[in-house]
Amino acid sequence: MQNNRTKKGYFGDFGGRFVPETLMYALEELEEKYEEIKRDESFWSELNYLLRVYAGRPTPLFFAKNLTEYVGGAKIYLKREDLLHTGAHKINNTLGQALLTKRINKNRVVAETGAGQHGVATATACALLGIDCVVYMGEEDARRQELNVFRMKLLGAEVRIVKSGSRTLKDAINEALRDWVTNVENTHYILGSVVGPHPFPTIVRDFQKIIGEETKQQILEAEGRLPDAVIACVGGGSNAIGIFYSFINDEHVRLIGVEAGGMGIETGKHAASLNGGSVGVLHGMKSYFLQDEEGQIMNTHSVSAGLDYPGVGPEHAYLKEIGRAEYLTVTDEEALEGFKLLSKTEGIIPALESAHAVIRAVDVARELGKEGILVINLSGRGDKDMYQVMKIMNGKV
Amino acid sequence: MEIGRKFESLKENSEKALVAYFMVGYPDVYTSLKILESIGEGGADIIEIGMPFSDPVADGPTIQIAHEVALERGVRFKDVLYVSEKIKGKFPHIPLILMTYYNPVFRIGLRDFCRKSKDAGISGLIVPDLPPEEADDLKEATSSEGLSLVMLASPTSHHERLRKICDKTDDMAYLVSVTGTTGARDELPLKRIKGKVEEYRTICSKPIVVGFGISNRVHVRQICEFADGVVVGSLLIKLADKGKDAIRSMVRDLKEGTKF
Repeated sequence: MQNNRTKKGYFGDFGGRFVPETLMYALEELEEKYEEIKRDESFWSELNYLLRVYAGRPTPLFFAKNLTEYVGGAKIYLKREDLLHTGAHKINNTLGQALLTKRINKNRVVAETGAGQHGVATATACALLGIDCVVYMGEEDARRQELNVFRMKLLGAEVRIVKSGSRTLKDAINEALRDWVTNVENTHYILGSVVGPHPFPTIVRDFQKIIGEETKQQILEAEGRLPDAVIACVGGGSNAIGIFYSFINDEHVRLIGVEAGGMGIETGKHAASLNGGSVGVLHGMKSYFLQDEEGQIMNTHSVSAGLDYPGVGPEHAYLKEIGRAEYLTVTDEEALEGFKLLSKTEGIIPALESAHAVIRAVDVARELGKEGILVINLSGRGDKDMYQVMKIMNGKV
Repeated sequence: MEIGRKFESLKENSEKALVAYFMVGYPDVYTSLKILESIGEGGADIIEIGMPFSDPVADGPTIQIAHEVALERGVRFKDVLYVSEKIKGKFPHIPLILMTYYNPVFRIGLRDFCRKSKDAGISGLIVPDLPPEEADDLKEATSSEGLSLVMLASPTSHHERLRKICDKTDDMAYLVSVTGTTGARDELPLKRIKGKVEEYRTICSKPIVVGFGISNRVHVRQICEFADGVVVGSLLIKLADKGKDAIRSMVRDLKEGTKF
């Protein structure tokens, strides 16, 4: 199914390469070299070594017995990406792309970051591999995530604050693209999600698909069969594609993505581009975006900075279009419920992003019933969100 | 088409083309209309009319601010059409090229966008985030509505890419002088630009203009020694607060640099 592409660099009607001419050569080169490197076993053994001894793979698949009993439906498993170094699945991609940077003989990378998770994971990989690193972060986000700014600096990255547009993730991507256009001859762009021009959505997915590969093997060992559903939160969509990808051809496995419903789709204050957006072209790709009728991109809202993006990866747009995956939404308020629920029942504090998947999984588990099996991709841990959640809860639990 | 004919008539007078850009709605619709008029009066050969977009990745800080201000002012496609119509009415012999990003064109609808632009006196489109590989749909719409689609080339466009650009572009190609975004620069890599223009000429017979970074008459002259014209944008946006007279005399001065 995933090979059903109509045009190079496309997933059905989505994807493509809508960038200034200056970047076309870099994208052609990246695609060509990546195809070469992809077949090079020494690349994968180097990456797998780092994933194992540095990042902490494979991550466990944990049977959430207490949560399962509390919900009273399907057996709920958690894929523990939150246990990885730097606290989320992002490191899978940044280690892969940092190694790729070295292989294509570039010595400088740029990256964008929203909440700071991808920025921290990029700075980490660059520190490890000795690559110059510049991270672009919106002024608004940098204010909200001061600690991550410090963390990135400590790791040796230069953090450049973006003061244009809405001063958030989308503008950080714009600025990283502008830097890349300017310095393309010595710089690689480590995009943090399955978004952007071809071949980025494919490269990032290839580095994240290990999540689903491990999950498949682990659930077969634990249960002797595949799950009935796999559920993950979707901003740009990298952790979701990561866990979905191995299951795409197993058509009886439901693939469920959960978008940030913010204050509710009807209020317009959300970040659910598949549920509340329309087809457009931004950041090099044709996909779903939150935009007005003349194509101006709209401001987004989510309690979780990692989902606060007005678009979504083209492969998700395609999976929605062909009906292979379903995309639901969760409001800020519900996400906080998920955050508290998993903390109390299992002693695991999830990232606010992952909490979106947790709370919607409760409904799906009930729907599936006691015979069912469900896997939640617990994409990140909640340490980064403690201060924000404490403020929202007024310090009272 | 109209843009191609402009290059022919310039050639007869031993002149190169001065292409001048300004953003509709910066600092407001009325002022931008007056500034565009003064650009016409100053002697621009082709006028590029900018339509604002929320995420202008090919633009540097100066033009980014123009996009932001115009959007804050609530500028819509109808305002761009209104201004274009006024300018065309006043300067029927100056071809107008509308410059915006792909998403507004796509979202408004390719055919609809092209038809309305044509009706407002626009002769062509420049879409900086649309490389030749993705241009087929828009090209179909521009062709059937009788508009030109001008493609961009860059210092990183190798031989094969220049060929693709030449195949797709109508009337002229627009060479970006540097890897980077729009914005006036003190120095230009003239040797590299000249080399790229020469390479282009071995492949393509359509005129080629050079833009990005051009900030004075000396630059204009240096580039016109080997290219068919220059594009100025950020320079004029920067001058906006000095008023339309300052812009008119700047355009007049730059135009002198194109005459041989």
